[in-house]
Amino acid sequence: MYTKKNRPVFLNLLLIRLPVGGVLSITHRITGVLLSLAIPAALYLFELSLSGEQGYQTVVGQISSPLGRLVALILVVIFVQHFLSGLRHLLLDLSIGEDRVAARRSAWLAFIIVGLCVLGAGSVLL
Amino acid sequence: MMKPEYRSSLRRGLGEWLLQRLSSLYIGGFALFVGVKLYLQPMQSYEAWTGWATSTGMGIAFAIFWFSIIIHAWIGLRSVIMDYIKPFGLRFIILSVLVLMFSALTLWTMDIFLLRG
Repeated sequence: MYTKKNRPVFLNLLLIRLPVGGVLSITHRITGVLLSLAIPAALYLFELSLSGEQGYQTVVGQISSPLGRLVALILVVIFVQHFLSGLRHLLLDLSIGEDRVAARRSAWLAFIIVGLCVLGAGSVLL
Repeated sequence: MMKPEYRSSLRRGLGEWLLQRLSSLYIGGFALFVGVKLYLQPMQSYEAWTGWATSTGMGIAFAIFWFSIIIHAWIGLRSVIMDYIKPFGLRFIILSVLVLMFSALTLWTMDIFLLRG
């Protein structure tokens, strides 16, 4: 019998095949961390845009520059991904779509919508 | 029957769980609203932007938005750290730095909305 100390641990991330719901779940965490890192910059731009005519023009210029558009595109896609996987978690909390087939379907659906958003946001912003 | 010493931490977990979901609803709903609004009626000038964003209603809505984001990110980052960083000392240091950073963010947001109106 294994005790708590010597239980076998198998955590080789390259060999574990996560189900699609698991992949979506870890993506939710990664995008969440990335969005957290963007908070100070977003708050700064928001403050600057309200600080006066000059600050507003600076922010508009930054966001509409090629680099600004690229960063905006990436952040929008990350946000949409976090939004959709979060929405799915909320529905699962309410016991909606809990069975295996439905949960897999909704996970794939979230990934497909994010893919479409990449294309859509790309065509709008770039 | 749950051991008494677990009760308060259980309630705390439930509070965070609920706060995480309530803030997510507000952030998601507000972001959707602002996104659609700015897409349909893009802001043409500084006056239009400040006029809209600092009106009493929108000012309060934006303030709740930023505070929701701070709460949501704090609970999320905290649980990610608790899940992946097990050594007590390292976890303590990272969480302490995070507390400082989020305190600063909170004070900054309060400064934007409360002190400057």
